[in-house]
Amino acid sequence: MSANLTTNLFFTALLVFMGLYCMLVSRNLLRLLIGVEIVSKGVLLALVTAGQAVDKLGTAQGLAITMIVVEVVVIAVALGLVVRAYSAHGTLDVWKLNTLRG
Amino acid sequence: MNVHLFLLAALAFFSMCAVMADDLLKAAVSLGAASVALTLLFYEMAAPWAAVFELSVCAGLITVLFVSSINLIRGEERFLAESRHRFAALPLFAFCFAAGLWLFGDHVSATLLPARDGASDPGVGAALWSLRRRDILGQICMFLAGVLAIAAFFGPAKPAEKAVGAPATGCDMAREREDA
Repeated sequence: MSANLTTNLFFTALLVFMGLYCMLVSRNLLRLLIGVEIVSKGVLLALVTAGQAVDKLGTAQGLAITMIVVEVVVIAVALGLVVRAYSAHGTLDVWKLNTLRG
Repeated sequence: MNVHLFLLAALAFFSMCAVMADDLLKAAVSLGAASVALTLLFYEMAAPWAAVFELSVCAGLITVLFVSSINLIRGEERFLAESRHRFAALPLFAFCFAAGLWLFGDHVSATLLPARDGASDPGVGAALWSLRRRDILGQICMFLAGVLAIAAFFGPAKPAEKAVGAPATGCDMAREREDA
């Protein structure tokens, strides 16, 4: 159990940093959302790992299901925003979407 | 243990493919593959309900949403240049942080995780419907908010005649760039 816990923590941190790196280096709005997805995968792994470590896997799974539902709504709305932004500006480059800059 | 490690490595590999792929379509498919690896990992960790939701929603629905959105976008937007050199040190920092967690994971978990209280696990049904009933209400509110937002984005637009000399829309500009 302890070996599993530390290994899962290692990969959780790796996934969260991978997602943050993706969000930092990307100029494409869709790629930013892919970064958000990768971070959420790391958090899901941490949630189920914690539930397994304290013998409360049922509660952890309930929280994981809630998080997945929230995640899909967030991604669907964000993709809708991205498609609308593309139809309005003709680009997904975040450096060019500066029409609100003061 | 070997299967567990293999699935974790597959999850990290497909996530890295999603981050590093030049084509957005390949990135979306890699993200779906990472979701499948996480599903198998949840099964291996005896969490079947989380696995089923991960497979159906994350590996299925979200991948379909991404692929549909990518297909709505024209060719050159799929291959935007990225500014990786500005954050070149971040992967090294991330690996050091993760290795530190691996080395001191027991101490971290003893500090962060609550102690085992010996009470039996309530199970997913009791956890969702009795212990965390407000979460269900929150999920319903999120769904309604999401449906309203999508309806506002893609609902029927007001018919308006385009005036002569009106500024071109983003789609027109993209089409002109492509034609040129």
